[in-house]
Amino acid sequence: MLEVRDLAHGYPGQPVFRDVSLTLAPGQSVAIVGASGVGKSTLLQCLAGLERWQNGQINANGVNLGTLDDEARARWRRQYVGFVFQAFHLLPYLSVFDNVHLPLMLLQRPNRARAQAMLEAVGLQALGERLPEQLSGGQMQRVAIARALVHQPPLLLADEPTGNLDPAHAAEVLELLLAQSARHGASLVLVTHNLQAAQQTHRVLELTPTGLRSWCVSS
Amino acid sequence: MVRVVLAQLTLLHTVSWPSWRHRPIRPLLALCAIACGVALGLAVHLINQSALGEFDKSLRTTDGVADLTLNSHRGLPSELVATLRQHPGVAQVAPFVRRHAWLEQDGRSEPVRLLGVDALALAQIQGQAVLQPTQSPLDAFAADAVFANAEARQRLAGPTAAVSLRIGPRTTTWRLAGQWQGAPGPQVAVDIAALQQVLGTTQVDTIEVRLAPGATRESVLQDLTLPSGAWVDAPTLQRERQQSASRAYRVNLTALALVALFTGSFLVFSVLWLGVAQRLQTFALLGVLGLSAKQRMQWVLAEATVLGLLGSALGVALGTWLAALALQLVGADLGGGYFSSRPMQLVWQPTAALAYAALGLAATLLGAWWPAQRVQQLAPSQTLKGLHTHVGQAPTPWGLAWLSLGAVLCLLPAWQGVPWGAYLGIALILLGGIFAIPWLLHHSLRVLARHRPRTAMTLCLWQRAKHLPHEGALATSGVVASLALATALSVMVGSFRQSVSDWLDVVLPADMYVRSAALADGSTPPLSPEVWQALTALPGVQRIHPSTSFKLTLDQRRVPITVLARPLSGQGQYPDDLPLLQSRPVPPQSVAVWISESARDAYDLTLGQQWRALQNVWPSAPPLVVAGVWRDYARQHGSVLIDWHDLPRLGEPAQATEAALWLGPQARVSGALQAWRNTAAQRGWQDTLEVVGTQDLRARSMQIFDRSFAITRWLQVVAVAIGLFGVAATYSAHLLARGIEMGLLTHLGVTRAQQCRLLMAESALWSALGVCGGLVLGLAISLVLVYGVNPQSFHWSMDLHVPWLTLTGLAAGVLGSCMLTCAWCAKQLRQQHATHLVKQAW
Repeated sequence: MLEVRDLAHGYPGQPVFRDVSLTLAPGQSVAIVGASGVGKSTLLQCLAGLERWQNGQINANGVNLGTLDDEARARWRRQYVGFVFQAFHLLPYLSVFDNVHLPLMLLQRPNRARAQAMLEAVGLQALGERLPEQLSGGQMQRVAIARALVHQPPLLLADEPTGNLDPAHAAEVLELLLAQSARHGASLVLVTHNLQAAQQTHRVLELTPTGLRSWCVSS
Repeated sequence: MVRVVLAQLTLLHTVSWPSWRHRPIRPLLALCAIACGVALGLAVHLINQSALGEFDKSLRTTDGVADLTLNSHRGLPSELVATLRQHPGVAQVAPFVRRHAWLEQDGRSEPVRLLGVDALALAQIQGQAVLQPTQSPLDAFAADAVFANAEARQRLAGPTAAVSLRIGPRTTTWRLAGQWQGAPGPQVAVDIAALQQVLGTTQVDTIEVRLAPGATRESVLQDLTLPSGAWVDAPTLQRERQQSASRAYRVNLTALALVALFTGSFLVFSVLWLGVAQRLQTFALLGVLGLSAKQRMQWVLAEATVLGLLGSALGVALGTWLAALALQLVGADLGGGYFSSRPMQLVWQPTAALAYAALGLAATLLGAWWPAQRVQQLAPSQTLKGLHTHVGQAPTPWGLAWLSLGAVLCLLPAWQGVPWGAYLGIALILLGGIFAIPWLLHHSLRVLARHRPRTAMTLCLWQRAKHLPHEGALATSGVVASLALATALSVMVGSFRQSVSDWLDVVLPADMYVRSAALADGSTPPLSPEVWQALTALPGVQRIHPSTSFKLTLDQRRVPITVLARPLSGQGQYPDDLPLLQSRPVPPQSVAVWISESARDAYDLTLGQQWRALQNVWPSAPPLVVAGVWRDYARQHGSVLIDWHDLPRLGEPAQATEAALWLGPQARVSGALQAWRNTAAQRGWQDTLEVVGTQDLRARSMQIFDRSFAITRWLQVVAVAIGLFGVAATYSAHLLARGIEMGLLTHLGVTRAQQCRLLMAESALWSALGVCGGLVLGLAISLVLVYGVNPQSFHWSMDLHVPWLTLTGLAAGVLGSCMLTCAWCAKQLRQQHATHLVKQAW
């Protein structure tokens, strides 16, 4: 369960957003859209505990993130959050398998079978020994999805996961992301400019400087 | 071409210059490194050339008047003088007789050089009267007249008309008739015929010849039959000998100076690599905007050219100043003992300055090559997304091939006395070693990959080292190069020092040593019977061994060798007070000669061989056979040792110029020295005799050794400092380039402490590998220096002594410095983390 209440963020003399509130149940997905520069990625960073905020509260699985120091947030993130980025961000010197297995190793719960199963789930079981640069963009994003979900985090944060892909691959990857997050019961927060992609989530919210509001075609 | 240059100038002005102004320290350090390398190389070259110029000048002003000089250790027949005077190719002939003599007055004796001259012939050759009679001009030919130079006159107590000269056992009285314009040092001159009469000989020692116009040295010499043992000298031959004898030393010093330039190019590499890492996005953006790969590469090389030109110009100015300063303060002697240590004028050579400036530019461009390649190869769009890596480029085994080629080159013999093969071999071993490290690591980790790492951090560490071995190797290449050079120089100097120390233990067995002070012409007068008597009477003296030494020219193209004679002692067949390297019994009735390594190499001698050139000096002596080769660090142009008791068999007078004194068990060296000082003060021998205790002599020798290698130690410090700065710059570059990776790890929940531990572990791994590689390469290079370069350049061998304590300290210091550098870099990265790196990842 993710619960955000009256969140405000900004820089001295330059507020970014305020009064952001959001509740997300396990297995639910939400897409956040909005104009460029409105703070979508910053909101995602706040949800991940990577960015400090001025006001408000973020509770994730009963943990008040605002009360944690940097080290505790890192440990929390390791266990409870999965990330998918626009630029994939795989470690270039680790094999596909090791990239997927890495979160489990960081949690000191190595489980090679689980990592292999995740690779199978994203259709890359035969490519485990390859290095990321030997994959296509779509394949790299599949690996990133497998890595994000391998340790079964309750919260999955995705920032423009299809931004670097062509429409055919983008659709495939999005479908996979939604299916896998639902299958693992993870709450998915998807930041995107792609309205078609956004509409495939349970809810679409638009971020404005004064808070989140339900998005509709007219807006 | 003009458009290319203009485009590059625009980039330099609009992008590079603001970047350098923003961070001026790194380009300034690179510039200083190049300037130091160029300055050292040029200064050494200018000092050596100034010394050779000074030598040329002295030849022109003194000996230049004689075109040809005939010499013989055993004397030349006076018929040769007559033959030369009748030769159509000869204009003037001046014979000389040279002897050591003592000025005797008031019961004291002072050594002087006595010359018998033909005043008329010498005046014709020199173009002026060299004997200046005070009364009658005919005194120049008078049988009882003596002429003294200024220094000899100072030794005469007050105005005197008569001078007593002791020549050998006889004392004769001469009339002081005027002044002699002789060379420095106390000298007196008499008529040659009068001196020959006193000595009871018709022979002369030297004949100076001035050739007739159009005649050549060769045309005159081919008509002469020179007696065995005679040799010809000429100003051109002296210059050739000087150049040839000092060539290896000059090349060696230049090679050492170029080491600084070589390490400087590593610093340029580090600075540019860092600059490229910092501006990767700029390069990528400009690439997307239309700057081609070639133009990007040219841009980096243009930056290097600017640094190289400025550094070289600064280096030329600094090198000129350094050379002028050194020539004024310490002369041209940089420790080798080949050149004078008197202050002298700088001979500036624009071609040399240009050549060293070009070398500086070449070293800078060499350092810039890999950063330029990196910029050329980057994929702009991928780089903008942060996806560009070098993963998958398996390292090539070229480094091993270079290592092998370097090892083969090190085995080549010297060419013209210079070990070119060994120098090139060392450069290839160094570069090959640096390039072999990624290959070796990649393949070692492939073998080790069977054992899967248990933690995420170990996995990252291991896999990164396996798949990106170039990056770590590049980071530590500065450490490898500088530590290898520092290790090699430490081992070489340590081996040499220990060998010299061991050598001194063997060659200085007595408690005290006495020798006559050398005269200004380099000759050493024998110890007089009075001195000998005083030495015997010293309290505590148990035994005295006489010895003598003199120079002998066996080959006119070579510097004279030193002949040593002293009693050899030993229980068995071979002397045990000689640092022998090889020996072999000689046939009965022959005279055993013990040669130094440089004599063996110069005259191509083998054990058991009769030495013909030496035999020519003493043709009536029994066969002179090489009995052994010994180590002689004191006389670099070669020496031969003969048993004192064999001197009569050669027909040489047993006149000691030196003596070794052994004291009784109860006697103290300090007491004996004090007693000697008292005696010398009473007899006025303070300036003519040198007496020293063995410990002092030893300490003095080691001091000279340390002074000679001071420049080497400074180079070590420079090399290590440059290497460490290179490490700092390249680690900074790597950590900067890994901002996205660190940002990603932050997202995955890796704490800052864990990231720091990862970076420190990686740094430790690479630094340890760099230190190990540096030590191994350094030891390999030291073997080449000890067993190749030194014997080939200077013709002396040494035993390998590895100064483990020094090397351990050096390695620990470098490792510690690397870790501190990395800790600082990691701290910088940590400080950026939360705000900067995470945003890079998004």
